[in-house]
Amino acid sequence: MNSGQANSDGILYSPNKSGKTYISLNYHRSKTKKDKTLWMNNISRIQEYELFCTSDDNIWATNNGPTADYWGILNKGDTELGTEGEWLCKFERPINDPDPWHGYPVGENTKGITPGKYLVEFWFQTGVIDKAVQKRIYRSYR
Amino acid sequence: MKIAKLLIPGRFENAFAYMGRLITVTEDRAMQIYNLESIANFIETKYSVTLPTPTYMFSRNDWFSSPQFKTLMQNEAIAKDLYAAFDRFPQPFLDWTEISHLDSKISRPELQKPLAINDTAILDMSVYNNRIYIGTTDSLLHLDVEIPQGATAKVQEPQKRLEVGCVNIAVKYGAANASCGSDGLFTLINDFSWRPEVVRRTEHIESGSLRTGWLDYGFVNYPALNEPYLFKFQSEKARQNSNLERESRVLTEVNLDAESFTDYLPGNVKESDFVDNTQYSYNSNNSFFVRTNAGKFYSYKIKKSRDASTSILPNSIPEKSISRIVSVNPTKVGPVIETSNRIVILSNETGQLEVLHDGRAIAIKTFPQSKRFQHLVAITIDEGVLLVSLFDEAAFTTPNGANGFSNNSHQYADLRF
Repeated sequence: MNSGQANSDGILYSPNKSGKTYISLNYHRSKTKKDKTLWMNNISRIQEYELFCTSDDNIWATNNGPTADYWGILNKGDTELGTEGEWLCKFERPINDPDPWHGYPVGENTKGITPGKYLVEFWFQTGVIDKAVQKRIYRSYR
Repeated sequence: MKIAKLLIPGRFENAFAYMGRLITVTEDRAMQIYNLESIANFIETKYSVTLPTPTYMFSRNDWFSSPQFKTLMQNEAIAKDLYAAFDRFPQPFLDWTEISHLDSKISRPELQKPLAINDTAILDMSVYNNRIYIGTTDSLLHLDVEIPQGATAKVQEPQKRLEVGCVNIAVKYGAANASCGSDGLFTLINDFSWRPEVVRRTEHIESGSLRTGWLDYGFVNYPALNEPYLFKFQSEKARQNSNLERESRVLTEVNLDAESFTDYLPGNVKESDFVDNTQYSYNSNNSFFVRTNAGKFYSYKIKKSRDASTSILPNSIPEKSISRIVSVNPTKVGPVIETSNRIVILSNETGQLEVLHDGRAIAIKTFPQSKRFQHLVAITIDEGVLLVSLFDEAAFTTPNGANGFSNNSHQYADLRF
């Protein structure tokens, strides 16, 4: 099991199956910066990392380009991921390739951050979400 | 509260009750129109012990408001018999296919027509003045429909109105507000030429919009679920020919200087505090609802005074704890609140929440502007369209239309985050 290594920014996880590293950042775990969303306490850091690995394994990317970010969802959105009811999360691709990825919960009211049609349709076609959740994402994220 | 549910099985995207019909769009992109009056009559012939529930609940909600009905309900014995008839309606719901197969004519929709719509997903539908507006991930379309009395409905071919995705459509005052997410808010002005001298046009009003809510002198745009901005508009008297909606005024111009709607809240709530602490906000013509991130739900009355100034006052409904709100839809009985995993009604009369459906919805529509369907909720679910009709007997059990609840003093003074 990849238990991660603590550093000053968070817990750094060693490369996963596809060779990507991931850091669970401290500022998405306790409120030290305004405007940074927080993971729910019951989503442990290892679960956060596993959620990233699920996104990576299934290529839950915003488009099929080489610079696309990933998104995550649990139990068709029934599981809240963030402390303010966020039920989707985004994993940002590092600017420099060997750097670690990181992720955070994204709420409907975060403007300009949306999984986009490409991924929503992929999720819907592959049964990750049902039709109600498909429409819910379109109607509330922009 | 008496609740009657009728399931029309099928694979639907959206459903809208209009002029005695249920207008639906199916998953395989066909329009199906059902005659609700015929359906209610047929149910009454098969379940005569429920008479007159089916007609009142699924075809003529306006009869609940008639002076004759109110007079009848003052007779305790008649009221008791009527409640008993409501209670005999099949629970938890009547599956239309259980009886519709008994008559081959009624088992089919009145109209079934393929739609030339290839857009990825259908997101909203609204019907107004014989025009069906459909918002999709890729466009806004309209189809004109004819719904003659005693004859079969006809639908024209779709016409594309906008080439951007449209997540919500709100129609009133001869206009349509098309909320198009990050592509913004578009208003289709004088869309039926009720003022011939005013140019029929589409205006881009704002850079972001998830939905709008009409007031009688403006509308509130929501660029995010927690950001209400008030836009005022100019209007002129409507010509009555072809005006099936009985609108007295036509929107002719939108004032582009928006104000934060939170400025009208009691207690000097700062806009930034409101946004930081609110998960969801919503307005109808006379109410404003807020759910905070902490899970508290507040209801307000919107008042417009004679000098045209607006104020938002606390309602008598006490604060409630409620899970994350997805949508709010007004009915005459109270707002229908869609939460992350269930749909509830908040009674105007008692302030109590009652579950209408346990589970998620593909679409929910209510019909506050309708004559006949103000008590009806059309919930599109995986199994079909669940028509939920609501009759709140509390409105008839005590004088003043409420069981003492509406006489409560305001139970809170302002927003408490």
